Amino acid sequence: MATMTQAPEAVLLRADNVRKYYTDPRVRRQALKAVDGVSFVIRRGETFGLVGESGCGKSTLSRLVLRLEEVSGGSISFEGKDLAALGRREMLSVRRQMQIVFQDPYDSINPRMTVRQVVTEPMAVHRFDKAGWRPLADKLLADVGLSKDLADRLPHQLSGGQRQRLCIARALALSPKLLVCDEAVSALDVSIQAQILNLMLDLKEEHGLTYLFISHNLSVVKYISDRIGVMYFGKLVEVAGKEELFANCLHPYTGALFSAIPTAHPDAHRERMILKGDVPNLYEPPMGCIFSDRCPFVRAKCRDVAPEMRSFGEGHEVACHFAGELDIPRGWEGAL
Amino acid sequence: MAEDARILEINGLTVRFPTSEGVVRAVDGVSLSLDRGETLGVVGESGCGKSVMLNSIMRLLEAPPARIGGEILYNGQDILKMPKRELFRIRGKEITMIFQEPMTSLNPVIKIGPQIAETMLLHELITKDEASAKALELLRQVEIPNAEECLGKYPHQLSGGMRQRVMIAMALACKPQILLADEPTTALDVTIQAQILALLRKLKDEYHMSMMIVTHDLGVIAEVSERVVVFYGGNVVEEAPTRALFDTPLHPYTEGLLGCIPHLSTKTGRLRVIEGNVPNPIDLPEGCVFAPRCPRRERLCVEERPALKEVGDAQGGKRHRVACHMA
Repeated sequence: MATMTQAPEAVLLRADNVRKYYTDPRVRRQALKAVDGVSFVIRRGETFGLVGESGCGKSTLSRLVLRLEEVSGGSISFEGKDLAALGRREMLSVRRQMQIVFQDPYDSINPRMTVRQVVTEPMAVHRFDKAGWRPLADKLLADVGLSKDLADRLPHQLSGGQRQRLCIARALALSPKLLVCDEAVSALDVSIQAQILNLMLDLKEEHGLTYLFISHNLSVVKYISDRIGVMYFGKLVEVAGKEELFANCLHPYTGALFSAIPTAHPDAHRERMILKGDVPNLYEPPMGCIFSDRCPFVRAKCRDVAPEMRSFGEGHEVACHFAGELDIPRGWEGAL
Repeated sequence: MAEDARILEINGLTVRFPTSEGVVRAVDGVSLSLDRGETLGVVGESGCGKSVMLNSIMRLLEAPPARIGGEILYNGQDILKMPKRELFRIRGKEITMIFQEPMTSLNPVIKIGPQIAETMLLHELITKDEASAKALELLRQVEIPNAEECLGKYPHQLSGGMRQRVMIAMALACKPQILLADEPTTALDVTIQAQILALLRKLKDEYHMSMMIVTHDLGVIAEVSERVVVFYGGNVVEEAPTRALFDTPLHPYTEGLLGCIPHLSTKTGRLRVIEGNVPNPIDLPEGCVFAPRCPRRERLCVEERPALKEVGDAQGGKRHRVACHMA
C-alpha cells in the first residue's frame, strides 16, 4: 500500500487489520463483527475523516484507537508503540497524547463540577504541579472562546455550543498530539456547528494537532479533513485524499453516500443513485462482499468472494472487485 | 389568491409556558398559511418554536399549562376553539402527523398490522378484516419489502427507516388533507433519508395532500418543499418560495444560516458564522429577535420588533416576505 511506505516518523497512528468482535454466548453463538479487518494510517498534522452510517463501526474504532476497548485482533500503534502491549503506567502516559471529544456535550461532562473543575481534572489525574492549574485553565478557556466569567458556572448553565467548547478545552488540557472527535459537531445547531468547526481548525494550527474526525455528515467531513476513509458495516471500503475521493470515487457505496446528500439548491439537478434496502443485520452479514446485497452493480463474484483493499493511484484504496470499471454517478455535484 | 386555496391559516399564534423561572415564549406571534397541495418547509434551529407550532396545530399541547393565543384556521374553522368531538373527527384523519423518532411514537407492544388498522377503525366504518387488508396495501405503498410479514412484527423488529415508513403508512391510513412532519428524517442515516424523502414526494402527489415539513436541515427543505418559512426565536423572520430563499435570502439570519453550512464545494478556509447563541425564550429581546446577533443591527432594531413585510415580485402568486428593518 502506498501509504505504508511513508517514513515512520510521519505516521502518528497506524491501525493494522484491526478487528473487534463482540460475543455473548447467552444470546447468539456467532460474534458481532463491529470492526472487521480495518487498516489505515494517520499522519502527523493531518485530519483523517471517517464517514459511515450508524452501526458501521466508526465509534467502536475510535474507542479502539484510544484503547478504551481492547482489540480482538490486529494492532494499533501510536508513534510506533503497539497499544495492546503497553502496561497500565505506560498507557497512562500515552493517553496524555491522545484525547477525545464526544458527540453529546450534555452527557460527557460531570454535571456537578464547575467549568474550571472540568478543565483541571485531567491535570489532577496526570499530577500536574498544582500552582499551574489555574493559569493553564484560564488559558484553555480563552483558547476555546469561553469567557472567564463562566469558570465558576455549572454545566447546566451553559448552552450546547459552550459545553462543546468546554469538552474541547478539557481534551486540550494535556496538550495531546491526537484528538479524536467522535461526531463532535453532530448534536449542535448549524449556526453553532460552524463556530465549533472554525474553532477546531484554529486550534489545529495553534496546537499542531492531528485529528481523527468521525462523522456521518459528509459535508462536514469534507470541509475539515485532508484524507477520508469510508466505512460500511465494520469494514473500510475506500480511503483517499478528499479531493481525489470526491473527484473520483470508486466504491459504489461511496457513490451512494454522496448521492444521498440533500441538494443544496432546489434547482440543482443530479444524477443520483438511491440505494434499495436497509443496512444489513450485523449478525447475518451477506456472503462475499458486505455491500453485495444493496449494491446496484452486484455480480456473481461479489456474492462469493470478499474483496481486498487494492490501490488505485497514490493513497487511493478501494475494496471492490470491479473498482474502476463501474459507472458511478457523480452524485455529489450540486449537493449540499 | 382565492381564499379557498388556503387549507390552513395561522394568525398571530402565541404559545407560552409559565415556568418557575419565568414565562417561556415558545411561539411569539406567528402567522403563516398552507395552500392546498403545497409542501411548506419550516426551518429553524432547536428551540425556535417550530415543533411547538406544529403540536399546537394538532392541539397536542396541554392547555393549561400552555397558554395559547391567536387562531389556527383549518378550512375556515378555528382548531383552537373546536369542541373536542369535532377535533377528534379531524385529528388523525384529515390532519395527521409523523414524528422525528419513530421508535418512541409507535406502541412497542402492538404489532404493526393492528397498529395501522387502529386509526381506520377509529375514524371509518369498516370491519377489522377490511382494515387489515388496507393496512397491507398501505405498507406496500410505503415500499416495505415483505409487507405481509411486516404486519405481524413488533416495532422493535424493524429498522429505523422501516419504522418511519410504518409511521407514514399510519398517517396516510385515512387519506389526510394535511400531513404534518416533524423532523421526519433527522433520526435516519443519509442513505435512508434519501429514500424517505423520495417516498414522501411521491405519496404527496398520489394523495393530493398538503404537507408541512419542519426541519433544521436546509438540505431537506431544498429537496422537498416549494415554499419555506424561516423561524427564529419564536418568530417567522422570512417566508419565500424555496428558490427565492436560496437565491436571494433577505433576512440576515437566513443569510447566515445558508452561509454557515459547509457545502461539499466549500474550499478550505473558515466558515461564515453567526456569532453568539440562540435567544433565551424566557428573555426574548424587545426589538428584533435576531438583533443581538445581527451584523447589520441599527438602533431601530433593538427598539422595535419588525413586522413581516412583502418585498420584490411575487413568484407565481407566492410572496417573499421578510421581518427586517434593514431589508
